[in-house]
Amino acid sequence: MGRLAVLLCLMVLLQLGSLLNVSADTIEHVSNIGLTTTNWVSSVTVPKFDPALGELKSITFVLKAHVESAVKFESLDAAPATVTTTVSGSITLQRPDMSNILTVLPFSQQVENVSTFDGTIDFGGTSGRTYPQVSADNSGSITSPPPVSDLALFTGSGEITLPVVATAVAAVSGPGNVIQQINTSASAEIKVIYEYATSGLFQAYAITGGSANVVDGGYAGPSPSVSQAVPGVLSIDPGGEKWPNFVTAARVGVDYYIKNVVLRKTIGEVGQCYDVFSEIPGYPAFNQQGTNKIRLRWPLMYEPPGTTWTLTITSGTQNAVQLPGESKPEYLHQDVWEWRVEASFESMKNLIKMVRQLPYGLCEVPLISNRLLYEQLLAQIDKVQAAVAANDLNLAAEELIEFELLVLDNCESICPPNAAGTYVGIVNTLENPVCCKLIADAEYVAKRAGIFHDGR
Amino acid sequence: MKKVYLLLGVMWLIAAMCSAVTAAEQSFSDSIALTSTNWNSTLNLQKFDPSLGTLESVFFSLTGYVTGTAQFESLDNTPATVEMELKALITVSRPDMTQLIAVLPTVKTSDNVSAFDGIPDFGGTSGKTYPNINHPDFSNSAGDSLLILPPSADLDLFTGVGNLVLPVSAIGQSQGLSAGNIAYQFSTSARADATVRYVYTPNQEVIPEASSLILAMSGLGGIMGFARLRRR
Repeated sequence: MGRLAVLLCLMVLLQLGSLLNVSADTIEHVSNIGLTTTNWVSSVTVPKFDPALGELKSITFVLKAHVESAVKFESLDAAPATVTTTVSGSITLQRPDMSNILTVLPFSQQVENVSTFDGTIDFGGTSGRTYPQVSADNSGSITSPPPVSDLALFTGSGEITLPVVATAVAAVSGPGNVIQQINTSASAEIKVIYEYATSGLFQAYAITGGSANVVDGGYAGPSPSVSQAVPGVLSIDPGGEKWPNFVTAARVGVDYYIKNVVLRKTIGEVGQCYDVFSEIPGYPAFNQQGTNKIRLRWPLMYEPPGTTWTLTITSGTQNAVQLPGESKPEYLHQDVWEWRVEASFESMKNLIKMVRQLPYGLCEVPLISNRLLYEQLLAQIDKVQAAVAANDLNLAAEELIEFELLVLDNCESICPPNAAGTYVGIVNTLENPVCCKLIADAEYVAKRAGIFHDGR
Repeated sequence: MKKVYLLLGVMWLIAAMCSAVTAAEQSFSDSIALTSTNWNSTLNLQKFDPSLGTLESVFFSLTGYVTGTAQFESLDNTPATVEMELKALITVSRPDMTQLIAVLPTVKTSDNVSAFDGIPDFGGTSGKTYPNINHPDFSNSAGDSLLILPPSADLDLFTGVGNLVLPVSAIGQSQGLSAGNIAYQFSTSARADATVRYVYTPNQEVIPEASSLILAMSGLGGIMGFARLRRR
């Protein structure tokens, strides 16, 4: 178990190590559909954005379309003629519900002057032409949102399949006596770029590695790990007394001294259970000031989403120095770092899985005591996700309200279960505000996904 | 009262004399038979003989017809709509090759066909052949006319002895619109009919018409009435 604890701790710290970079990051997935005779309907499958990586900010779709035509004609006319061949392609990337994301229109035109019929129908000579490969390329891109529902649609585990539709129109004009043939094919390259903020923290993280903590199945043998998630922890490593890990001057090798260090925590906007989450009742924000007075570890299990920590380090240099990111040489410099707690459907599920394995103090019952209720909670989140993926936000709102009612109907603050053992539910005390946490997360995620808003 | 009778009589006489000068007309026609485009030919139309009188105006009309064979085979792997169009630009020119008049008869087709049926025969479920499209009723015609009045130099062009030879040409054009995989074959023929009508004032003595005689008699009656009143 000691090794397991070390492993879990390392995993969380590794997660946070990448979170210290507050700039946005991107992940790019490229898919191709080969040259195929039009018209065709195909699809590309790309991995969804893994919410464990941070908060998905936007999705950029890039569509490169290529249309290739084989064109041949023979003028049979008794006079010289002009033969014009135009091919217009239309390649559309769609969502799974067939709504259009992006359309590009490659276009090619061939204008040829030929002589009177040379007597041979060979698509050549002086009165005919053969072009085995007339190419037209076009590309376009679009960034979503809007619609905001795309963020939820493209977030989660697994993959998403996007239909791609290619059509082509051929227009020909020429003399009154002519033979023409056109064959058209199209290919497409689809790039999906997820831009996400890596500063997001989550209250719980899924365990992706192996574990020795198993379910004993009796004669059936051991089952997979009972531990499926671990608490998130904001762990700040200054790197030394002068906070070199967070000071730009240290990064570029300039001598400096610390003038001040301030960590400000601001509680996220919480609708219900506000008093539970306010660390100092009535004060949504507070500061810790002084190098030695900054708390370096913040367990996130019960932090409401939207809570931020802002670390401001003021340092000085003996001479005026222009550090990276500064507009002119200065004696005083400031580094600002920010972390923010996020919530998503996946993090909510991780949280539920985590509290299912944590005890209610010495009562030794899990914080969600009942297996059936535990499964209902997970299934209800799945229903909300499915409705969002189908872009049915009204249904998503209904399912989310069902989730909140399921939580509220099962909140319990009595430990242990009474003598008859009938108390089952979700613990909701000041020490373990699981109900409040789930409600706060649900409302936060709903607003981010566009499920709840002023008009709904 | 006397002056009124006199005035009416004089006016009626003048009117009767004027109506007796009636314009005359002559018409001549020529045609170019149905011929595969593109073709160049000539129309032979008799000129207006100036000995007949004074040419007042020329009315020139041209009617063009287009027909032919249009066929296609959709090679697409999905059902498609295929549109075809045949037209012929028929132009009549003056002897100096400047354009006198032009018409553009057009015929169009539109068909919904299945995905390629596997046989490039311009038939089946994915192809179609229109032989002699809409011929022979020539519903695909276009006509235009031209009225030439003084002081146009064209009046002189159409005046003289013998025939006026006017170049005429027909340029066939074809168009197709479909999905991206298609084969077409077009052949086009065109015909032209031209008519010229001369309106002129004949060079001959005035022969009053019946209506003019009645007017003249009325005028004389008016004058006689005036004379009778004067005798009283």
